[in-house]
Amino acid sequence: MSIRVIAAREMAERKLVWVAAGYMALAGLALPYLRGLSGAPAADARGVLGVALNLAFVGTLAALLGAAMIPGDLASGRIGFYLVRPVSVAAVLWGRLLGGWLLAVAGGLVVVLPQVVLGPWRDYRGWALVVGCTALLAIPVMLLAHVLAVSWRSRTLWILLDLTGLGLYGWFVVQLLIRLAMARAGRVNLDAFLLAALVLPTLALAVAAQLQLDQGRTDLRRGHRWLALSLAGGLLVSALLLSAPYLTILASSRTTG
Amino acid sequence: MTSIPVVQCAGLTMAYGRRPALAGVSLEVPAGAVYALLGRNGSGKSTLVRALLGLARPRAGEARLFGEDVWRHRARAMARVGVVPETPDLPPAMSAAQASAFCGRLAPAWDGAGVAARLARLQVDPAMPVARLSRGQQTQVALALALGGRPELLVLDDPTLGLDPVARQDLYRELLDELAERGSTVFITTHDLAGIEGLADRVGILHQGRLLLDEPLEALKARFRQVRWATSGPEDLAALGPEALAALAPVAITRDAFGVQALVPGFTAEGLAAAGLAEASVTGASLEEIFMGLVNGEVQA
Amino acid sequence: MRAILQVDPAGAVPIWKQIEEGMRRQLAAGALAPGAPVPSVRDLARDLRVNPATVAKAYQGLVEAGWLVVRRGEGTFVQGDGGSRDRDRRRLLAEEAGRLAALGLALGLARTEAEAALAEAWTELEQKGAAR
Repeated sequence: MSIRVIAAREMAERKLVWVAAGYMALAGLALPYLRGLSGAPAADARGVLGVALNLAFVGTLAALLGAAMIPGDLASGRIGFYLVRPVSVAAVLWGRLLGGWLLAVAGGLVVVLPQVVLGPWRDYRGWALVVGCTALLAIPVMLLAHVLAVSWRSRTLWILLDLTGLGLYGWFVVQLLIRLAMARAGRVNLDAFLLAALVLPTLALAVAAQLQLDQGRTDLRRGHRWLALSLAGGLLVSALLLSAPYLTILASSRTTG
Repeated sequence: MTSIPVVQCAGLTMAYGRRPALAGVSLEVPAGAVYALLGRNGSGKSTLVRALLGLARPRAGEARLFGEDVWRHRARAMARVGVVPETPDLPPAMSAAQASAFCGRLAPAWDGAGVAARLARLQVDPAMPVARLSRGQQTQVALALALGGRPELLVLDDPTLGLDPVARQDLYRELLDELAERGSTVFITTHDLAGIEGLADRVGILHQGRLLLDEPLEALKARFRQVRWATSGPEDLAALGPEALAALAPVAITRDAFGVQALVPGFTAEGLAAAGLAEASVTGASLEEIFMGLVNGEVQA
Repeated sequence: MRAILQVDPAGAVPIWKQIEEGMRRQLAAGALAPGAPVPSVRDLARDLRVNPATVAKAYQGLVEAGWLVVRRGEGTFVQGDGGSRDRDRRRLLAEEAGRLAALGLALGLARTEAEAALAEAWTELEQKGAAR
């Protein structure tokens, strides 16, 4: 399947990632000793460091790859190599992003492996949860980096809409969160809200990325128009959906109050 | 039985933002033909190629390959097309062998052995990252990859740009072999007028986004003539008279120490006699002379 | 033969015609014996650096004129046909003679002068050929 072939190619392309991951893994092992944490149990320090490094490595790599892979090729014109293949635009976009994501996640695993094997935190399920969570978080990070980089490289004024939209969305989510917390919405509901606040814009970013490449192709101006409008629309829809629980709380409090 | 043209543009209009790039370009390339699109830098050649490959959407009009709108059915069309881009666009760290394997997995039918054989014949190291190959070798890799899918249509966007004379000849030779072997249709944009003169069946000249002419090369060369006659001074040209000049209807006129040379389309012996130049020397015009005359001189094709 | 056959892509005469004419001269002059193979379309196109379709067109003209014959699976060969050779020989000679006459007249020479020049050139070449 084309997506698989393209993802595999993307991973094979960036062998340096493994070197970096190996380096970070060793650093993770050595760091507690270097900083002379003789007081705190070195084992715990290693465990914490492992989680932190995993998070940092995966997050950074996701952002770097997201910003470099396709936006770079769009700006330089090298995207043509992929677009003259008999494969769909979606396969090119999602294949490459998948490859980058797998690379980031696999690199994170390498970073964390010594801690899992050597460290005292032998709770494999716990580690799996950590790795799994960072892997999932990497998706919106990568998509955001991709979209922002494309927006920047397209060199049109639509970037103002993109940044404004994202900023407004972020502010809106924070406002809703505060109000929900004050309305004592309950822990479970807040968690669900946060999850939705992350998943919905991720979907919006994905749709925008797809439309940008499919409708723009080598025409960056056209692509950016599609990106900006679909992202703004997607964020608006997300904001509306997210405000639903708060509005129901308001409505119920009005009827009771 | 008329078959669908392999390449077809109808009223193709392209623009970048507000800046127009192509204005109502219409052309057709029948199967098996070699079509050379000529034009100065900025005339819109690469824009046309991008439209033909479904890489940019037309503002108006349409671009079709094998009868299908290529913007809407790009992936399907690309299975039958091989592309050699203007600047090499392979990922720099990729080697030719890796590129062949990659393209092979994405194409419905791939002649990997043929690609390898071609590269070996041209002494291109298949394991070396393409960024480290010479420009000529990179172009050969691009051509080998383009031919790997056994395409019915080959699109080359200024393939000889930046190539030294040896590399240029190598490229033409590979192209000729391919034509002889499979009779593919070829659409090539180029500045190398002398090089393409032996190859092209049909020629189009693009100028500021418009197609000045679009006809078989043989007919074009049959139409145009260089008419030379000796004069003693510029007044002799004026002495020809406006009716005579109109009868001749030259496209470009150059004067030197020996006389006047006029590039004449639609040449006829009667026209020459009417202009009072029955004793002028008449020779053929090369593609380069025709191109320069049309694009530099007053446009009267 | 390939070295002798010259093609000028920039010239006014269509390339296929140049090839056809060039080959006719060779064949009329007897450079290739009847039954001898001629270069394949592909090889000749390669050597002359022209579109194979153009070579094919020239070959087709020669086949139709009876100069060449295509044997499926084997290639293209010179057809042994004395009649067309003589005809083409005479035609080529007539063309060159016409050019000589035109030049002589344009220069304002008498016919005898042109004939003398021709005789001189002929003997000189004959002697050169004999010396080799």
